[in-house]
Amino acid sequence: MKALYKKLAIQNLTKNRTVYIPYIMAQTLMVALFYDLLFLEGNKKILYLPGGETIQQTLAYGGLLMGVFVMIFLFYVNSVLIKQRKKEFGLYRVLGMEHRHLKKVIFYETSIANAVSFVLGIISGIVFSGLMYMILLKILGEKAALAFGISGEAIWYTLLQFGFLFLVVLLYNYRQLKKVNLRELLQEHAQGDREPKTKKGLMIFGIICLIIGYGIALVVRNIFASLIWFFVAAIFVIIGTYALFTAGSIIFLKKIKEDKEKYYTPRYFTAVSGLLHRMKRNAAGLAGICILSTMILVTCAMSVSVFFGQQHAIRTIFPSDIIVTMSGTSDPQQDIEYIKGQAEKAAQQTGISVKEVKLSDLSEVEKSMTLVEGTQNVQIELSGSDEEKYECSTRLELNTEDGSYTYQSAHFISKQSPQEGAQSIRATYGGFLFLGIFLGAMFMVATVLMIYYKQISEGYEDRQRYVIMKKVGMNDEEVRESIQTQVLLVFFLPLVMAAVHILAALKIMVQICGILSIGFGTVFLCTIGTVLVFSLIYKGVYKQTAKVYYTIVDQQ
Amino acid sequence: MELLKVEQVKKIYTTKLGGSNVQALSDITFSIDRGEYVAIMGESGSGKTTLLNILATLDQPTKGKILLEGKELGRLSEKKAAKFRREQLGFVFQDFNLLDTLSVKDNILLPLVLSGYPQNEMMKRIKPIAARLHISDLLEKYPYEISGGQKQRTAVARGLIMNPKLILADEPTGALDSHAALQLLDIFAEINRDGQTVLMVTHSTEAASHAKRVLFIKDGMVYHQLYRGERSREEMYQMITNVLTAIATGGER
Repeated sequence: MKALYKKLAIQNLTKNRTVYIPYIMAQTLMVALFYDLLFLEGNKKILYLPGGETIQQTLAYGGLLMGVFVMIFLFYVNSVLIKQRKKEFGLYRVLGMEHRHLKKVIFYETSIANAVSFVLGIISGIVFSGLMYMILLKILGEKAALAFGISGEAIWYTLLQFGFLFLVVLLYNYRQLKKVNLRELLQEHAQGDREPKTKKGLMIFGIICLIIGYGIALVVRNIFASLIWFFVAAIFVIIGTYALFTAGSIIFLKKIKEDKEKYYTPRYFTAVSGLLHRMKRNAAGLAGICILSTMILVTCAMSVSVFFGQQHAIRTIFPSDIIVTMSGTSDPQQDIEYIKGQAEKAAQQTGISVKEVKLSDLSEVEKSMTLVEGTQNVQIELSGSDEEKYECSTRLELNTEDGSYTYQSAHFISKQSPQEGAQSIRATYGGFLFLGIFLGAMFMVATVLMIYYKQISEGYEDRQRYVIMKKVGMNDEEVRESIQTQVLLVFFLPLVMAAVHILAALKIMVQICGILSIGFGTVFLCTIGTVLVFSLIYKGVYKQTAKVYYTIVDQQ
Repeated sequence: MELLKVEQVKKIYTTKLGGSNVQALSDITFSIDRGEYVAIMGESGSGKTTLLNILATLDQPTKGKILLEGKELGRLSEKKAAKFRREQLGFVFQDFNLLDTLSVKDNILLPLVLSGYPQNEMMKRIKPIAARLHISDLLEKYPYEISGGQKQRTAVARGLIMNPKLILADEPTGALDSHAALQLLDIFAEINRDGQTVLMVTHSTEAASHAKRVLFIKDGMVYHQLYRGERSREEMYQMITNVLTAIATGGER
């Protein structure tokens, strides 16, 4: 008996492979990413790197975020899949299977799907962990070494996370089984969706939410409030997007329909009428794709900005080759002369020359961080390569007492060079970049999966319609054209919306990056670049799924 | 005058996994004159659906020729076949094949839209046809809001709107109740009186008795044919029943 349930479960999974393979693949990838994140977070070698602790803290925070997102997303995908299969369950019931038998089949199905993706995920996670490790080191500016290791702890925590997900999903699937109503299931669902009503109120509500969200994003001035307001604005924008897609898409399509010259052409006729009728169910999916795309864009744009802004940030924080900070000086000119003398000595030993030594004011950031009154900076400019400058900086000797540099009236508090500071900056920024890549990849997988399922389910729905139209006399080319219009509308509406969101978020992104001393120009260029690259990837996904859609519609 | 000529058409299906061939049509020959109203009868498996699909250019014969006004249809390209279906043929199916996402009006206009007709021409054409089929009041409704009979009349309107040379009907009364079926058959008779050529495939004796001529197909061949001539519908009904009995019992013709 047991063997039968197992066999049935495997059969069901293979029969529904068009939907289950992408699901298992996505879950595999998420397991792998999750494992890798945990692996790096707990890696001792990274902890002992300069700035390693900072990075691991950033990764831990990212792990938490990822855990929550993965749960929500995979749960959602599973719920979509199981709902599609209700008819199949109804048939089993009619054929004489009892509820408890079906429960067993479902148990095996869910177990197999989860076990396969977990094992594959851990294996690919282990394989890729070495690569991730290398990338992380590279970002940190360390010499990259390929390390291979398996972390039992990381596997255990991944198992906990996905085991919990498995339980939740299993219970949910059981519940769905209970809800199967035989009489309803066996009746043909001939009734199509009715043409949805125009909801002007909802659209206005959506627009207001968007305005509030955008407003917050554009008005906030305080740098440190940015982070909190960013989330508040994001929530408004998410609600607004959902409302706008639900109501706006219908209004948009009805507009096309009213334009009779346009509507009554092969290109728009079937596509627009088809879209209009299923927009009620579709809008949420489109809004979801839009929001995920925005998340990808924001995460990637910020990470890339941080990466490219790193050099600039180092330059901002360390405006010259060596900075000597001193306090309580009564005769700055004399101190500078002394520093200059010492610097020249050090430069001579290294084989380079001193270009300029000058007094400078503290920057805003430094003022807020320095506790000692009357602090002044002396900037030393050198000629030579970075290595030579660094060498010179280590050779520079200033008289010190009690760990602080003193000369006559002055206390020299510290001596810093960009090369020294860069390490701690790379640790902080590198952590952000790495996390950005991780989260970006995860959101990307989620978006692709959502788009794929959307196309498949629509393909099945539309098949009958295209069969009829072919009988009536639509040729393959016209079918292709009509599908293109339809898929294009579905795909590029969310992308355009996401681009608008990004535009509104730009100011707040600049402010947040400002904390890390990254300028407007960098953020702006990086955002544009990210949007372009993402559009290209998105277009690729669109082409691929349009192909799948066409195959479904075309099969006899 | 001869409109459609079917010459020694043969159709053999080869199953996908190599192996066996199934002969759906062995040797079919007949012709239809302009303005005729012909019913093709046969048991399920006799090959009548295959024949209809070939006539509709949805399928191609293995051997033999089909001529419409002297032009051969057998090997039209996919694109030309679609254009041909749209412009020369009107279809009426058993399960209506209306699109749920289009209103009755838009369903009727579909072939015109696909052919790229200007908007005002479409509106001009739909009015008289809708009036003739008694669906003028339903134009703004959707297929899921109207009855089976109304759906089938909508499908007939869609079939007629291109002024096709031939109306092909596949079991048009199959999904209708007896009242709606009678109404539909009256409509067919009426459009035929106006000069429209109609070819109907059916296994309903009632439906076939409305036609002017009935062809019987058995084992992929034309087995027998009946002309109605001056007979009444009741007499015709009786004669069809006799032929069917003969076919069923394997008697000689």
